[in-house]
Amino acid sequence: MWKHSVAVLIGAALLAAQSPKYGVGHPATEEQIRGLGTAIAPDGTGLPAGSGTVAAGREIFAARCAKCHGEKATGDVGPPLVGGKGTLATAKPLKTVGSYWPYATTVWDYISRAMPFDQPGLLKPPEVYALVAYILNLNGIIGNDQVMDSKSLSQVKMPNRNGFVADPRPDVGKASPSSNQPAPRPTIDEVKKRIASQPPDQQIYELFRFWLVDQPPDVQRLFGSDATQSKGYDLYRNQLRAEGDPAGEIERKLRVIEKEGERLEIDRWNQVLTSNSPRINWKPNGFLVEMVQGRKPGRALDVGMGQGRNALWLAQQGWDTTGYDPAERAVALARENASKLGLKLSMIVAKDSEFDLGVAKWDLILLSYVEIRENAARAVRALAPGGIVVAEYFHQDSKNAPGGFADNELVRLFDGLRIVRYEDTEAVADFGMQKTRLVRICAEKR
Amino acid sequence: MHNSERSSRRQLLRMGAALSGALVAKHESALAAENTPSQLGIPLGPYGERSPYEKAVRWRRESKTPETGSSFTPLADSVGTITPSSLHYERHHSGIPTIDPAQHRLVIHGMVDRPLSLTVAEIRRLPSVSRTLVLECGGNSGSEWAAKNAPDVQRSYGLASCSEWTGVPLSLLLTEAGVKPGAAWVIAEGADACRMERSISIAKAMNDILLAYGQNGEALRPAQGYPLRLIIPGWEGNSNVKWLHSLKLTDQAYMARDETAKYTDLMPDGTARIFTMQMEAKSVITFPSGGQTLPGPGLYELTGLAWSGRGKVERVEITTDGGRSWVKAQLQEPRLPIAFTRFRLAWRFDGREAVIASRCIDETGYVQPTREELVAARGLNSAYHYNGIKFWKVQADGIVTNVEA
Repeated sequence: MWKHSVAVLIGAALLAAQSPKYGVGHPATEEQIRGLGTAIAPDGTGLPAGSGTVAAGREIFAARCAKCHGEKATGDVGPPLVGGKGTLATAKPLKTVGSYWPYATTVWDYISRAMPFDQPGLLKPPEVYALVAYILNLNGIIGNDQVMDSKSLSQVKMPNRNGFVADPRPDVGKASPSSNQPAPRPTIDEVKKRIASQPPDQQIYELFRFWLVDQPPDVQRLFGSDATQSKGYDLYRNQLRAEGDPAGEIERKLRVIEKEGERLEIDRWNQVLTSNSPRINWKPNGFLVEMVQGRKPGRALDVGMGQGRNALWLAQQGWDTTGYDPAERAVALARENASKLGLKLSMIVAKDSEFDLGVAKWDLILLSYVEIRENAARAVRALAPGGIVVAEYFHQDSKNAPGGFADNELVRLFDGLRIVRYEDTEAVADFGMQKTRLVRICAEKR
Repeated sequence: MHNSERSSRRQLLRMGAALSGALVAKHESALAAENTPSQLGIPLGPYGERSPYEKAVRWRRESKTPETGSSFTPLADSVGTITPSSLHYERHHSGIPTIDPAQHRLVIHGMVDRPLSLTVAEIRRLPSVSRTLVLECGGNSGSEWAAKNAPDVQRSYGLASCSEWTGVPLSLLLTEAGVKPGAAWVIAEGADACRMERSISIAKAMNDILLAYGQNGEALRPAQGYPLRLIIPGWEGNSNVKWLHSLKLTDQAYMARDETAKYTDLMPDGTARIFTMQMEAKSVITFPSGGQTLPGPGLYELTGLAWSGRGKVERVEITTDGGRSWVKAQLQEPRLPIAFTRFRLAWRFDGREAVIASRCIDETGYVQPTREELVAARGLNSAYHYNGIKFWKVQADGIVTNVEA
């Protein structure tokens, strides 16, 4: 139960760090907290008792609001509150409660705290409910007879509820993949400079990984199984010796890599996936987007979800999405971003060996820049009939990552499936953001 | 001629080297009647004011509702890197409240082990930190999207200012209250009339947010949140809630009006980016800039300001030929992360039209983009977070204007 123990550890660390040190201030009383007034969450938390009708709202609006927002709420000194439907993708977008605001709770919260402009906080809860009812009705979101209260308001689905996306910046202004030529491999000095601020053990691991990427495929495969791994480490030992490391130092470095390899690899991805680095495509994988187009959303699994660039996008397209990744800080970031977008999906901290894919249960399994060889067979098993697997990674000719694929190897891995699309192409990789040789497959279970 | 030589010697004898413009003027008039005693200056005072000859002020649009809106820092008149508190840009939503610090309380509540109420005096007792940080409105330079450029740098880039802020790390106070497992957001609320609120992720709150009570060596100005405000390094100004009186820890973002209806970036496909808090690298030439006039050909020091919400300014490059060639500007040290960095370049104006601009490269390698690149990626309706390269045209007659896009 690795996943469980991590959660406990994080909880314990947080608690341990949080006993009061200065003992400053006084306990806040219930009365004091109530006195701050209400703040309303999108699920309706905080909405007080009371209710209001469209008709009552019409009267209050005429008396209190029309002088700024116009008699028909089409705007004057204050902004328009109605209209704009269908204009968001045009040259003249009109952003109103009806066309733009994603949550009805926000309308209640804002009127309650900030309106009327010259007397904020004047309105009592039933008046606020009534005004919200009236404005929603004007926008055709609720009927003439619908009454707004804490329950009905939090159930209102606003037209633009799914119109928001996570921040993909930096989207411009980064050092772009400038030429059509495949990028040269970075030099050892460039790598050393890039990792100079990392912990010493992490640097040892990064340099090992840099060496590994440059090795021929048969050497890289030595590290793929426990049985052959020691042969691989012998080769790295030779390398360190050639670089002039003293014997003791060589053994220390190998111990760090062998014993701490898994943790260092997870830390590496924790760092990379939460970095904002311009060398990573933070948007959904282009091949996935293309392959999902026109497919009916079902159950999707994102293997090695990272910070959720693909899983969150799938959830936004209506897929019932699950993702997992051992990099706990990346998953935490995915959770944060999902909550910003109001998305519900299942996000789990786990390694491949800890996550049971099950049998015939997924309509889509995504293997985007993850361990594809080890996962192929169980992914095929776990696909529901008619489900697809979408996978993308480097070709072994690419010097951008270890473990790349030989010609047609990816096709053979998914032999039992109907190949919908297979590409072996020069393209910009999601990791590295440099043009290099990639392989991609989309295959369907019959 | 003879008279003026003698008079300048007399001035020097009387004044030493401190020849301010005002004093020179005064002594010149004194010369007219020799042997008239000098007039004494004004007495010492309790709180300083600038010279009556200095006229730079914030600019704001005329409005029927002056309690809401923005006022812009006169960047072209600023020197160095610190914005005087009195010229710091403003963006208010329901006026500036008058708050007695003795009556003010900050309440930390919601998903905490120990809901806390703190006075300003109690907060000032805690270990303090000072950081020089730029604060920039998410809507700064928004008019540049439409290429309907404001005539000068104040009105197009003046929703950015830089101060030394002093306060307590927010993480310290949250730790005092005890963050409960599952708390993911801090809902910050001000004590202004509309109780402005924003949702802030707990990760940022525990990282580098400052609960500030000081600005540039004294208490915050009322317009800057007196007595307490949030200072969130690198994030859009709106989230730096002023007049802070409530921090509620929750498991969800509250989707406040200012994080849904406003400060979201509309894309050409009709979707909008939400929680776009990060301010990116930006720079602008403040001299020569729109509305100024160069008196004639000659050597000038071209100067301006660069900053990045992601860290230090690594490099600033300047073009004086419309973007064909770029040279490195000299940067004033120390370069502080997320702070104004002053850049300079000696430039000879030869009396021919010149199109000038600066671009900022920050320590992450991010290069300030052109307007065209921004528009290609985000269209024309995203309203916020504009950071494109700003071109000015120095006409042959020395008048500086916008470059028509």
